[in-house]
Amino acid sequence: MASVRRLSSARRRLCPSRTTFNQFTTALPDIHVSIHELIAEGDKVVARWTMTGTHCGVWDGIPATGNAVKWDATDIFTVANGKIASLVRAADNLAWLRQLEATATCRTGSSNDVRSSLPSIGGVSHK
Amino acid sequence: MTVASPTRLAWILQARRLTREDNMSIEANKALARREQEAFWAGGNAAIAEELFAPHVTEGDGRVVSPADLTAVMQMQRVAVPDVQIRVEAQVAEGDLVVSRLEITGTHLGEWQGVPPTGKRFTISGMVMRRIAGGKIVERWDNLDWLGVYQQLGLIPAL
Repeated sequence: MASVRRLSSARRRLCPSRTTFNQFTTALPDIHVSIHELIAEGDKVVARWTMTGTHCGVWDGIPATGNAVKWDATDIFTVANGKIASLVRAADNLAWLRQLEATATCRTGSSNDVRSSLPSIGGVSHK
Repeated sequence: MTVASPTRLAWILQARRLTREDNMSIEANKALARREQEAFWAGGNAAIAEELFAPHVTEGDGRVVSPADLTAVMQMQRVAVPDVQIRVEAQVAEGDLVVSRLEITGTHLGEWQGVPPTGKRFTISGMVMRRIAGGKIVERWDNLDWLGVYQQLGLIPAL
C-alpha cells in the first residue's frame, strides 16, 4: 500500500497539470476559465483568474450537484528559459467546497463528509 | 555609431525619465501594499486607514467600502486573533497593480463570526492584489486560504 501511494504521489509530481486538468474537465464539462489580469515583473507573471462551470460530474468523490460553481485563484509563475519553472497558487477552496454542497434532496455524503461541517460564515469575506 | 539627432535624443531622455518614474511609482506602490498588511492588518494601526485607502475602495466582490468599514473589519479580526502576524513573502507589480504573497500566522483567542475561541494557532498563505491610484489603494482582491484556517482550528476535518 505504501509503495502504491509513493508511486501515485511521484506520478502527481511528474504530471500534476494533466491530473488536475482531467479532474476539472470531468467535474465541469462546460468548464470556462477567465483571466482577469496578467501582471509581469522580472521573471514572474501573476495570473488572477476564475474558473466557472456546472458541477455535472464527480469531483473528488462528491457526486454531481448541478450547481453553477466558480473557483477564484491567483497564481505566481516563475518563467525560466521560456518555460514555466514554478507555480505558487492561492485559491478559495472554502468557497469552492461550499458551492459543491448538494441540496438536501440529492445529498448522499457520509457522516464525515467535510461539506456537512463547513461553518456558515457570512458577510465578511475579506481579511 | 551615429550621433543622435536632437529629436531622437529628446525622445531617449523622455523615455528614460518615464521609465524612472514608472519604477519609482512601482516601488512606492509595493511599499504601500506592504504597509497595508504590516501596519494596518497586522499592526492594528487604525490611524493610517485614510492614508492607505481612498474614500471609496472597491472590493473583489464588487462591494464599495470606506476606510472606516475596513477599520471595523480589522478591529473585529484583531479581537479574534490579537497576535496576528503577516509576512509579505513576495511582491509582483506592474503599472498600477501590486500582488503580494502573504503568510499569516495567529492564535484564535476571541470570537470570530460566532465561533467561540479555540485557542489554536494557524498559519496560512494567501495572495492579495491592490490597485493604487493617487498614492492610495482603490481596489482590493484577497485570496486567502480560509479552508486552511478552519481546518487548523479544528472546525472542519482535514480533507
